[in-house]
Amino acid sequence: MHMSDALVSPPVAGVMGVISTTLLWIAIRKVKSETNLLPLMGVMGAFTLVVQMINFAIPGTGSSGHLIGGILLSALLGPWAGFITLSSVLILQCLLFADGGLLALGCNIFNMAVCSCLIAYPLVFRPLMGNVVSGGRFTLASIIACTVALELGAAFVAIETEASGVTALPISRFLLFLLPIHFVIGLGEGLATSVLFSFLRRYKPELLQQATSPVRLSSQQMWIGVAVILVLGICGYFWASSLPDGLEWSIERTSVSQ
Amino acid sequence: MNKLEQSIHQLSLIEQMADHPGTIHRLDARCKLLVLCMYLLCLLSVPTDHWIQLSGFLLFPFITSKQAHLGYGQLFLYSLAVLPFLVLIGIFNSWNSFIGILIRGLASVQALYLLIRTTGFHTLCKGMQRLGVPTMLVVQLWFVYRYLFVWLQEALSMDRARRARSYGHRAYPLSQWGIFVGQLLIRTLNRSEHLHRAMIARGFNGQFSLPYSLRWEARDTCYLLCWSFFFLCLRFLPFILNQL
Repeated sequence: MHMSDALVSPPVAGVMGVISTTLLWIAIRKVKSETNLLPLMGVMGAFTLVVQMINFAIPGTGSSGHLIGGILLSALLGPWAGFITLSSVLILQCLLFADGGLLALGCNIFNMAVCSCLIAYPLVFRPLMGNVVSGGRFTLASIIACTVALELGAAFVAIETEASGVTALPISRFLLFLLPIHFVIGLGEGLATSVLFSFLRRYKPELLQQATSPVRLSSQQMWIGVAVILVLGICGYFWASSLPDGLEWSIERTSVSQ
Repeated sequence: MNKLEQSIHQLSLIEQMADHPGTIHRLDARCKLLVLCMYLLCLLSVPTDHWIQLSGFLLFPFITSKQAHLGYGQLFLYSLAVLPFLVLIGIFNSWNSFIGILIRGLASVQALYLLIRTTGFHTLCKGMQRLGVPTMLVVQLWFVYRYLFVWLQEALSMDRARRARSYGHRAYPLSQWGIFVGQLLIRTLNRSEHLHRAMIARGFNGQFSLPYSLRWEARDTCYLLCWSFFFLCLRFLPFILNQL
């Protein structure tokens, strides 16, 4: 779910922007030496944008859904290159189709790209895949990883909106509204990803080596990363909600001086 | 018109409009990007229940659309796409705050729409690069944008063939969707292999220089300063009025 500029306050946008930019900078440093990945990242980014416009019917509901692509990109390109590619897709969606705002870009990159490529892929998808490559494993790992990524993203949307102080809707109700919807979307995304994996296993199995090879980041490093992000997020939340903004500060000063 | 056709239409419109010889179009991309950032920072820092103060910010998209020879009505209609989500978020707030959220949402989308339609994507990429965005990310954006047209055309022709054979079925059943998107993915991957070989044959070493030059002139400084002053005045309007 893309967050609009109207839903974030400048401090929250700033904190999330710094976190996402730092992670992007790390990703660029890691991928920079692999020049063979550049054209693949470019065409896969365009592919992801196009596939997001092709809806599939969700069985038994009468509605339709589309692929987001975080787990698929990570499995084909690796988590860091997948993260850069999905971030570029989000930036293009913002600039070309006004999906999500420019200031909210840090939040959107975090909620969608970081949660799927840097959290759900190495911590959920890869451990579930293990070393045994089978269709059932791919399906199970895709469904669980996509659901976790979407639920995490939805939870962060609620936290960021609450920290921005824009809506009067209590965070518990907002979560109650967002999480079940994203659970269903996650199942759809997971099913779609697993269908694509089974297609690739049949026609281009060599492309799935990345998904079945050992993870480059140790889980310890990833947990440290997650802990740092959470601490930063919590600090940002309290900082954003406790300090007055410029206007409130000015009004306070004016009333005190009077 | 389905989503794919709409996107092709929208992308072609961006390139057509960006080539227009208007005063706004001639400004440096960096200047327009900085003005937009300043605008969004001032707009979003105004509390949502100050809707009269917020409505002043609608002057920027209104004036800019006139200068860019774009109809404000069309711009307004385009920005309405974000309305359902804004209503959902704002409906639990007070009336003042609800109107404030709507104005913030619409104004920010209108400003973003004007930036891309008066600048064009390639020039904007160059502007971002000159403002310090890492070259690799800019090149990635440039690549994705370039291949977006190719894949949109490819997907559209495949989608047309499928629609011609399945009257009345809009969304794909998951099994058909897998085959359709899988085919597209295989074509994508094959294309990227050819592309990489062609790039290596031309001496590609991981470095890119985008073929667009930018020049910052006095009018850019003037434009940036004037609008920044106006946004800051609007932002601190209650404080200024209190002092008078």
